[in-house]
Amino acid sequence: MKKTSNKRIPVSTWFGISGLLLSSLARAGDIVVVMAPGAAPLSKDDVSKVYVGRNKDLKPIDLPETSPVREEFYKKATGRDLSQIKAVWSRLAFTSEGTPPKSVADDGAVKKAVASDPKAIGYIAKADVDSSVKVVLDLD
Amino acid sequence: MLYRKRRFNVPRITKRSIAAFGLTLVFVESAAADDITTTISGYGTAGGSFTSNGAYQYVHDQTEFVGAGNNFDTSLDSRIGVQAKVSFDSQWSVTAQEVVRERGDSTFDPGTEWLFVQYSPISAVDLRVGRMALATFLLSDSRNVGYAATWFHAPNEVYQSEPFQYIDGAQAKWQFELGSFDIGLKTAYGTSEANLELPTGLTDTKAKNASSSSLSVQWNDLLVRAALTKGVSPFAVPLAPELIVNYALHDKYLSFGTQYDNGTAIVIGEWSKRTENDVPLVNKPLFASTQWYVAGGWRFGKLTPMVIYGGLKENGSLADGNNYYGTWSVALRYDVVRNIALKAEASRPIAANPAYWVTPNPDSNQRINVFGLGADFVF
Repeated sequence: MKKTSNKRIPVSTWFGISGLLLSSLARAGDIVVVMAPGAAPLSKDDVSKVYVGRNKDLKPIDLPETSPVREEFYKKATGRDLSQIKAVWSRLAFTSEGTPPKSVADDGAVKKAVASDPKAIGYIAKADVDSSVKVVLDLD
Repeated sequence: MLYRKRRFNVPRITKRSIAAFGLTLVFVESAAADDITTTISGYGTAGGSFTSNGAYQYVHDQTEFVGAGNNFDTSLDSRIGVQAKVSFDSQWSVTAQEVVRERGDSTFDPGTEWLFVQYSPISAVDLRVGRMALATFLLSDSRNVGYAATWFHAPNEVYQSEPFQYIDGAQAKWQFELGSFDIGLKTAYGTSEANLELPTGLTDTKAKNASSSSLSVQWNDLLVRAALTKGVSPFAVPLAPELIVNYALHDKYLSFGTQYDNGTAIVIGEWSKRTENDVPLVNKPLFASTQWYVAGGWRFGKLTPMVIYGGLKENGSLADGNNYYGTWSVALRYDVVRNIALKAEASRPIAANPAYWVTPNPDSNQRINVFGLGADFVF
């Protein structure tokens, strides 16, 4: 019978692994709300109102339905999952009280849409922020 | 019970409404210009209902003449709606919504439920001219959109009581913020039409001076709404075999509704009182009732169970007398995949309850089960 090696993994390695796990979890959730440069900061309530159709002054932009960033954004900003959000917009759309946010392909397209229209608002991963947009709310 | 069978019907789709819808589609087809955007979307329900006793046929409201008996009836609950919205710029748009569903004794019948031009001089103000849903109750305007609701059947006590479902006319809406409150003021005025089955026979009845005004206040997760809806229709009531009284029936609904939804807990409640002028020669109105319900639900991830209690109190009218009917329902929503929600619901009204059956039995207190099962979807 072969004896399996029973080398102990140093404590420092465990710290390293858990640290990596923690930081990657944090990164998945690091989402920021962006508008054109010069925009004033917004509260979470302000952003939530725009994305559930209660404020029509701003033009919300969505990432595709399959995007994990989209799911995470709604959870953090509105406290609702995508089915609930879809139910909210179904009621608004089919009573003509609102038009659901326009979907664009990715973070780059969000930045482009937001940078060219002072009324447009979008959300992207924090890592993708550059000088073309202004962070109006950090959702981490 | 001469007036027990209260049957009303919205008119079938007219040639004019088909032409108007076609015109809108032409707009959609040619919408290639710069700023013109078109949105085509839809919703539907595939499902049905049945009762535990075939003698009692369940209907949602008075516009349906054929109910679900003890066979699973798919024509009552299944429906499909398609909406086209053409926005010419940020101020002008045209919206049309065609819905295929049961109307009167006809199943899968198409009808134009919305068709209006909207002008928004500022983002807070919407002015509309055309056909719009008559928003007598909190959720009247989205009652066909099953996906937007937790329940499968909107509570019959409240939602079956209004025979008119749309208004042809004009509507103005103003929405503004007042501190942390979102205030909405809405008023609509025009005419409506319904095919009513009266004791004197089927009568295509027009409601004149139809109006509906509402005030809604949203504060965080809480919405409160008050509404007053009125209409005047010519009615013929046979008081005796040779005595038919013709008169102008003034119908009025005062309604209060509230909805609280924090993402996990949902509570919806409505209270509505229907009053009318008296029928000549008898000091009683034809219909008079107070109806209400309270619904409470809780989201466990993709599953949302809900319990509903509805009450209907007759207020000494010629048609209904002075009874009270209470009914419990349980509903379950399961968000199975994106865009589709599966629903199941069971209610236990008594056989005499006039809010649930095509032909209630006023002498029976027997509880009958109503089961509903289906899938609501949006596309």
